[in-house]
Amino acid sequence: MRHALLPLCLALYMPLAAHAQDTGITVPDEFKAEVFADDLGFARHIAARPYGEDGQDLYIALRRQKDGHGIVALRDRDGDGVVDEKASFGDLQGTGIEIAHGHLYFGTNLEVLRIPLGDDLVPQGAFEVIATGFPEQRQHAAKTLAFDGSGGMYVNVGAPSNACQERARTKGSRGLSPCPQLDQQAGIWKFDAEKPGQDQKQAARYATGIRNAVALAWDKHSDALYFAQHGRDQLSQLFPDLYNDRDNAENPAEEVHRASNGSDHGWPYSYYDVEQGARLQAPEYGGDGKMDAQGEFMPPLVAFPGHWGPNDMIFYGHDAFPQKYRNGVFIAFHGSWNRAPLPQGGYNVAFVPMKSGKPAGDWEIFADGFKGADILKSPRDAAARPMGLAVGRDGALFIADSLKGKIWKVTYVGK
Amino acid sequence: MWVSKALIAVAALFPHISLAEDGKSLYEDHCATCHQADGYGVPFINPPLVDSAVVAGDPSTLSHWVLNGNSPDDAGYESEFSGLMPGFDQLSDAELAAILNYIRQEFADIPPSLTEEDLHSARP
Repeated sequence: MRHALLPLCLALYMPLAAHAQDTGITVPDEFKAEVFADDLGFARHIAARPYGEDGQDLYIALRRQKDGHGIVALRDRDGDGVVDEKASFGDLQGTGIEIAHGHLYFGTNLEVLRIPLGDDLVPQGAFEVIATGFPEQRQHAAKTLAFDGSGGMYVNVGAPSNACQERARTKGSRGLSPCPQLDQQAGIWKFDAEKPGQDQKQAARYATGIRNAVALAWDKHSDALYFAQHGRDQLSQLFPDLYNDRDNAENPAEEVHRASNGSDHGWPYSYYDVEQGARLQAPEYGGDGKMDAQGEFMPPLVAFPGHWGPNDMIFYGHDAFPQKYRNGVFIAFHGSWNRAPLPQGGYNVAFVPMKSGKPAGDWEIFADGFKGADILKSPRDAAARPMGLAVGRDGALFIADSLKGKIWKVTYVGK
Repeated sequence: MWVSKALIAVAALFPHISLAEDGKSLYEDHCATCHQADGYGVPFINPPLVDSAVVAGDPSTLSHWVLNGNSPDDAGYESEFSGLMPGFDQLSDAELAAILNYIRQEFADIPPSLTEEDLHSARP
């Protein structure tokens, strides 16, 4: 199946009036955030590539088409931080978008496609399907992508449920044992990045026990795959005799993992408790909020607070930021919706210093203020939600917002 | 506010109508995590109850959904939302009627009208 390229929407792009105004977010001292673009649509992941001598191209995936297209392309011809060209294309929509093997790869909820990239901002040609056959699912359907540089493409296939209960999201319902959803979902599948028409049912399951890894990245430095998982929801609603609202708000952790071939990360049988610093048995499988997990599961590299919603991660290999950022990882937290009655959390971009594939210090908030209020009760009240990350040729960090399609460019301006 | 009190007073004259006021705490326990306390839901995940045609429409559809959950086959199914609504048939007829009366009054300004018998007859 090939997807014909729709007529393009291409226009010269006027510099944004908001460019020099308050950007709405905070970044560390000696860093500067500028609004690179705005009103692009419901932005998801983003991908960057160099253009010409100093220029920068940026491609933005949209979860819902805008003006009939699901990909927005931006070009800053001379790298001065001002968008000179804006275009849109693609009769598709989704979350995953990456540049690899001379192509732009795109993950809809059901397929991974690619289109060859030339010098033009809008690729000339047609999409071809690389991976297909994924199950249709309403929950956690986003197909996000990572490439290992050796011909492998990794695709997140989220779990179609919260906790693999006999009755979905139903109070007291036990977990299915074994959980059949693990057969074709709740894991990361590996494909040949360049072979068209691969069916997931014939592809290799690389890692399992992962509820949803929207944030997925390959680290060239340690030559390994990493992900950040959306932890399960509703501990206190589903098991009120074992958990109170505070337990539910803070737990389980949003876990950052290093995946390896065959690794099992514990969903749905277990979760990682932030305060106890331990992997515990899930209540659907006999856990009581204290019982250690009954199985051999990978420990997280980092445990972030519950429900923050890690939606993208990127390793920083550039030397434009100070030394402490070198080879560390930035993680975009989309922000929670289910910490009530406590205030919602996340809505930030965190940084984890890394060395040889392991955390080399405590995580910290790198960019904040996206939610636009000190206390947020509901995500619909947020000013912005961090969703996609990319590193530009000059080492700038691009951050995409999913609500209005705003893109920030963060640069280091210290000495 | 006086309107709500008046509605409750009217409902109290007909004891078989479950009080919407009782439904508030039940709503907070069972529904508010997804639909949020203010009824506006979560964008792309859980649909709003405010300005909802299902909430404001024929209560038999609402009764069917809270008892059985929803699926893409249901009329009024909102495809842009990824959340899957479970059925709540473990709750009693009186509890479900109270929740629905609360939802309809709070988010669609419709006086309480559902009874235990309505929910009982809606069970599969």
